[in-house]
Amino acid sequence: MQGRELFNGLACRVEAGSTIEIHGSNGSGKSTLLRVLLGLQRPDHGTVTRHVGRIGYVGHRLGLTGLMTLGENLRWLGALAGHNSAESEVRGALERMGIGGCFNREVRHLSAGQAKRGALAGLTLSGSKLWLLDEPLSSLDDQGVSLLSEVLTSHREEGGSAIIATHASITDSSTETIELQN
Amino acid sequence: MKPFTATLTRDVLIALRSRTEMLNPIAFFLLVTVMFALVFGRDLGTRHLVGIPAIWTTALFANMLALEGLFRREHDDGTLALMLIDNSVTLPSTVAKLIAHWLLTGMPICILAPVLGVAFGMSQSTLLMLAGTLVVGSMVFTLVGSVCGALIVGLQRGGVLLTLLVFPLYIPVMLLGIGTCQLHQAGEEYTSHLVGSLAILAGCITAIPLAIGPVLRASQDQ
Repeated sequence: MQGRELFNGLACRVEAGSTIEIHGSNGSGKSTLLRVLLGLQRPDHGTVTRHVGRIGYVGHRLGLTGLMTLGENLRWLGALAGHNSAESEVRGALERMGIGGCFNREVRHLSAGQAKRGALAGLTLSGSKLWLLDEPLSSLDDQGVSLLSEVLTSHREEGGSAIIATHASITDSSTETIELQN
Repeated sequence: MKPFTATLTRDVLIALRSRTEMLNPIAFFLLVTVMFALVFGRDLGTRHLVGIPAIWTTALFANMLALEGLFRREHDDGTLALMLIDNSVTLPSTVAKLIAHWLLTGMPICILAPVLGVAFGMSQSTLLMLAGTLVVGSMVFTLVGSVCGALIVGLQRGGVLLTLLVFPLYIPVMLLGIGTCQLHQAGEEYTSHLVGSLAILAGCITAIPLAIGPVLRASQDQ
């Protein structure tokens, strides 16, 4: 990346029902690694092989449009994933993240934490087997962290996987961890 | 709802909610064209002469005004990344964005142009020809401009670069469009100019939708 080596010799395999946490200090390349896995950035060397269909992703930019309500955003996200999400389904996903009352509120009027919860609710509607989350804990309060943890557990129990770039661990000790050096 | 329909509906909805942004190019087109008509007010002969180039040139600049925002909002809020991570979604969603962009900026200009053309003393058949050629031209503007807009989406303040990139590419279709209308107005044969414009449009429709996804991905890879 711009003459700087972020990581080398990195190899990992994501199995169904597993979670990988990527740890590292600021600027160590966590977000870049996620973008490489998503195909948004090309590595100088090496390959990424995907055996899953659509990947669910929540990055620093949440993928929610400020001028649309949270409900409209989530229905659009559902449509991108090929689902025709009914209003009740979207409301259910929002209630699961503790923000059922935000369905009709424009995203630009939500707090950062509410918007983050909304984006995470969108993931549950996407039907994606693999989730990539970039600093999912940022802006979340304790209740939000606990709800995210529940959602991740249930995703894994259903055979889903997740790769999470984070400063603080959010899953259990069985989770594989990749430590990136700065 | 499929990605195409959902994205088309979404873009129209966003445009309706950000009316100022949507109305800016149309207001620009309206005001500048009226100004041209006023400047050449007294002399009908001169108005007759400058009407077609004035309307075409103003339509071109109005389109350029709207171009920078084509992928900018999606880049800034992260929705563009979501459209790009799944190849099967990229094509329908970007094509939907192009159609929405044309419906919201190109089409209103094509509707307004013949109305404003009256102020330049154009005949009814020339007004129809003007609208028809502008439909072709504005579609080419949207398609060609979208590739340039995609190239600079990752850059801060890419507006000047966008103008420099886009302007030379717009000139052929603009000259052919102006030529078609002027030849028609003079009662001369205009088919070759019209076919030239249609050929450019056909080429753009065939190639550009397929190119946008890779160009957007390349601009993300920075």
